Amino acid sequence: MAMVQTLEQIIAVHAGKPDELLVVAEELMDRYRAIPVAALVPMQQQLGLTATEIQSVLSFYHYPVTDEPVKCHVEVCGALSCHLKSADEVLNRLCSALGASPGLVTEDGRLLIARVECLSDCERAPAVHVNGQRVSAADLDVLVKHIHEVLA
Amino acid sequence: MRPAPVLIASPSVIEAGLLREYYLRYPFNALHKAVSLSPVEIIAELKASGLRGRGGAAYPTGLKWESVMQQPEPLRYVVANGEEGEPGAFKDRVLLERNPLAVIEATIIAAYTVQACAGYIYLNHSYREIAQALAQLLQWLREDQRLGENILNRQFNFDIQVRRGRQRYITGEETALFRALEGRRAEPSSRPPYPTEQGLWHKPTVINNIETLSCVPLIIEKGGKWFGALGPEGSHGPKLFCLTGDIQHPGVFESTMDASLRDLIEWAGGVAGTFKGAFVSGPSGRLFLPDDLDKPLTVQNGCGNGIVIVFNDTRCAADLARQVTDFFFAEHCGQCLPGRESMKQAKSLMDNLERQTSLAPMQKRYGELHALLQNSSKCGLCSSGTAMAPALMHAFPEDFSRHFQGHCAVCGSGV
Repeated sequence: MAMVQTLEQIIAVHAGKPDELLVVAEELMDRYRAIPVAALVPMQQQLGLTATEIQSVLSFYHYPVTDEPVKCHVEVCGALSCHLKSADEVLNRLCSALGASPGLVTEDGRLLIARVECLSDCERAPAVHVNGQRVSAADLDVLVKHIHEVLA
Repeated sequence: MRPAPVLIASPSVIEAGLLREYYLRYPFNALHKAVSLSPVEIIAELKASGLRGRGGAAYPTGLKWESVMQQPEPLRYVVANGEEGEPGAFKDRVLLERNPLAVIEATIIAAYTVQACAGYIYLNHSYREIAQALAQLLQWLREDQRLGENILNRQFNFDIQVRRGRQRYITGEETALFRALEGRRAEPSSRPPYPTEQGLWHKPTVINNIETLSCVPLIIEKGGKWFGALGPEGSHGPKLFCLTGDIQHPGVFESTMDASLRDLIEWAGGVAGTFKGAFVSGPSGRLFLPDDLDKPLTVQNGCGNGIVIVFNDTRCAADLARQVTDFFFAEHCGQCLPGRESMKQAKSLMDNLERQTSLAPMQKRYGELHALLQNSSKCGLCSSGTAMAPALMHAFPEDFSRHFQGHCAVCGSGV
């Protein structure tokens, strides 16, 4: 119930402003690390958009829409500068160590590891962000431990 | 000799937690000077500086502002483009971390010049901390009457909102960015009309890259002539270059545009390994080979947005071509038929590399797709995205030939 109220509070600030759909989406991402399914109907009602219009925009920008908020959202950059620094290996090893598949929320709904196209963090390639925070991928064992701590 | 930086002379004020001190120290000389000038005088100063856009297209900034100023429609907007989604680009982030007020000050000056009512700073979604810092700075500016109602008692009203959107490379395209600000899919519009005529909400809009804007306060304060004297003819002023890839010390380096690729690599500690090539202006830019190392990185030579991705001789050019093709396939918007179909075919060519028997027909087909896109796609993304693979095929045919045997020992690819 508390989550629904918070969702509604976030969305209600933008009531009647369909142009602020991406603002709402970013605020939900900051709060829940994904767009909870429970947000979709309030978004339609408050922003005055249809379900199709909302899904069309969210899918275009690759917003993850999940049943429940995820606890830990890991983004691994796979763009060229990171590709040259073994980003694919980082992604595969993280998924393997944490029992995840790229781009899919784990069965317990708590972890999402996704390959993204660019985090604009290229000087630290391979760039990895955990819940929006830059982390080092220099030592993958340390990174896996950090993700376990976030999940705890 | 490496020139002293003027755009990113200070360390990050956000990381150091010194935002308030930075705000209190910031002189706002350019803003105070600008409001004592007429819009025509400001544009004359910009034209004299020779400032060109730093996002890649290198359009003269003075002309862009003048075009908006001359529109009959009174409702106008200013947009700072910080989407920065091309692989290897992070200079705008570094700039905003180190001197965010230069961008805000320039946005206010642009609004004063073209009499805009509202402005937006659009950021890559991962720039969360920067967005928070900008929001705080904007609040302090409102409290000090440098933003909002009756700015500096000049009866000039203007305010700025900070927006973020989840990364899509296409959003950096000007008209696509307007759609993102309107809460829609970032799909480019056909030109004309140009953004200066019908931009955000179909109103005349100044849209400039973050780095372009950060040059404006320097021009207003020190004069267009001072700025124009920096760098070679047609490539005036300081420029930021992002060096990544097989390089010892990746980072952002500020220089004038008479610096060569060799200079930049030297400042970044040298190549990790032996230089094989570099993508200058990113994967949609130009391929620089060892013979190009001493070319100055001017606008004419394709410095573009300043992205430089270096690769060494252990890299397989076919793997790089595949990576670049995959990126543009994933990031194209799918809106226009030429873009949609050509990107699908380009990806199919690269996906089936190991099933080809010779390079020539593949090179020919990829080149045809590139030409078709140049002539018929709605925006420049897909055509610029299909330029690099043919360049790699031309420069390194032996790398592709290895794949035709069914396996490449260099990149480990195989059927």
